[in-house]
Amino acid sequence: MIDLKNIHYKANNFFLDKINHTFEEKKIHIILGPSGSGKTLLLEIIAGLRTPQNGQIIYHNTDITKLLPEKRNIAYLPQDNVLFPHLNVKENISYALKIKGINNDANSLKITEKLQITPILNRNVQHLSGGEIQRVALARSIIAGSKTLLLDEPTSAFHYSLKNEFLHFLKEIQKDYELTIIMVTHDILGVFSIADYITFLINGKLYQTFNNTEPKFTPTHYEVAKFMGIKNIFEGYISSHDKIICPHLNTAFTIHPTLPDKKNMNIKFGIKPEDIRIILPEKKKNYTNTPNQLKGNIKKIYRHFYHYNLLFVPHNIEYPIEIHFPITKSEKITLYEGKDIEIIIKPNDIFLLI
Amino acid sequence: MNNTLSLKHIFFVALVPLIYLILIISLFTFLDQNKLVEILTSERTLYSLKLSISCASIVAITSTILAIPIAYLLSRNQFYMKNVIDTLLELPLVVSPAALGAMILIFFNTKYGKYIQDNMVQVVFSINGIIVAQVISTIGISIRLIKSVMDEIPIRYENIARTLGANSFQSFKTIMLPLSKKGIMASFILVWAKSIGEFGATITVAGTMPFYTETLPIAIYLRLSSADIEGAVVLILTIIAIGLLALSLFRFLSRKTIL
Repeated sequence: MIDLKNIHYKANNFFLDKINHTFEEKKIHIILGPSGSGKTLLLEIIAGLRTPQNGQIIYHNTDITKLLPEKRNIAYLPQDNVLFPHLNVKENISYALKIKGINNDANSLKITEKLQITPILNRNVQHLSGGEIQRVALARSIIAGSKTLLLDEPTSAFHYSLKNEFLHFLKEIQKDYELTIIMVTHDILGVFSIADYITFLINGKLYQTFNNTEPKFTPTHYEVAKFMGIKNIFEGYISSHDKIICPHLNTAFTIHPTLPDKKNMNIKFGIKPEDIRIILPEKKKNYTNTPNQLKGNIKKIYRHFYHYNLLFVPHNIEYPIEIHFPITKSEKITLYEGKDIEIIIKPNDIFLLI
Repeated sequence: MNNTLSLKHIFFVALVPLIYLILIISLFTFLDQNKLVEILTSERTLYSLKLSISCASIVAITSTILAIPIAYLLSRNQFYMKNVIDTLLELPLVVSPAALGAMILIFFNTKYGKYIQDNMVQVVFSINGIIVAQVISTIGISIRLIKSVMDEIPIRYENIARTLGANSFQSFKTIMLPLSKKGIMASFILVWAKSIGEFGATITVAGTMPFYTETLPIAIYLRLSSADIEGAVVLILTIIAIGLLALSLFRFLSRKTIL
């Protein structure tokens, strides 16, 4: 287990501020955040390549804050230049053994087999594909005996399909060797399929941690919602225990998350575009007494791979709401720009933002 | 885009090498073939040649050994007064060799310099003086060359090595040193070539004693002083051949400095 306690690190005009987090053992932890949010810095601090000005890093109940990187047994794989260019694949993966003065290690043979490196052992590292580079780097870290791996954007140069393939391979290796993996990335796609925990690092601050066993991801912070690309973020104020008035949309929303007992308190809330449903004309009678219905028309339609992206504007309001409408349902309703439609949002699907 | 140079451009580019070539060819007008072998095999020339090569080799080794750690520290660290140190390293480039030699000579006439000479090692007017003068003239260049190669090597490699269990010296030895190997060798050769031709600082510090401190450039100077043009030409051609060979090797190695 790695415990970050109140970590503070200042570098020029940027700083990581009051980072408190626990990384559970033998799990994959994904740290998501935009470029320049301090993700690499955080990994370098955990690896011991930078010493925080404040705070502690506890690893297996030992304070390692000031321990040298070579004494930590935590392997770090940066985004680029992962492999040593003057060594071939075999020399790269046996680097740690050579440092320790070990010539032959039976375990390393098994690891190279498992990670499908055996056919490329004598190859020059300049002639490896992106996937091979990552596999060799993983093998090198596992052979070095590191049980904790810090991966910095390992899939940044991968094509989408190769990215998924590598991520699933990583999950398999993590399970087999019982590794703790902390991986930072700005790329949301794919990581949910392998992560045990997802934490957000934005502008040097850690935000909510999502346990991937939970059925649904809901942002709790405004910054996280923005990073996740959720455009339907609104401001309003509390009018009763389950109602928010949103002046921008000129609507009162009924919501199910418990509201603070503070009438007129300003509050931010969001709605995921995929949680907004279009009421089909033939089913309109089913929704006569349900709250959170809005009438308006479609301002724009963009086709995406799996859905239509609609910009819906409620009547008499110039404040667009983004809706994702599955292409598979498109035969049930014809959608076009300018068409009048009615939408409904379940009270459960409205989330509050700090 | 067409990368072929037109004839007038080729002429323009070749102008300076052409001047050098004319200068070299003009040497042959004074080349006496009978004297060539005689001078080349004379004991005095062979001594000067041996002295120049030995001193240049010692200087190149000393400068490189001193330059590697200094270049590494400068390349990898930010510290107070780094810019001042960086500027001071260029001193031999801005101070003329004779002035640099005079500075060394003056230092060895101070209280501390005299103490070193009396109790540790004789420098002025000795072979040690040749080495001291040439190391001081070349070490700045060596540091600058090696540092520029090290600057190009991403620090990430060393960081990875550290997290794989290598201490700072092991990561330097197994990562930094092999990656900058060709650059170090190129610097070694350039320092060696510069030392072979060094004259101003050497003559000021070590003097012109035949069979003692008479290096090849000093021998050329002495032959010219006594109007022995044919003798000087043979020595000049020898020094050109050695220099060009070393520089060709330098170019070959620096072409593939970074892997």
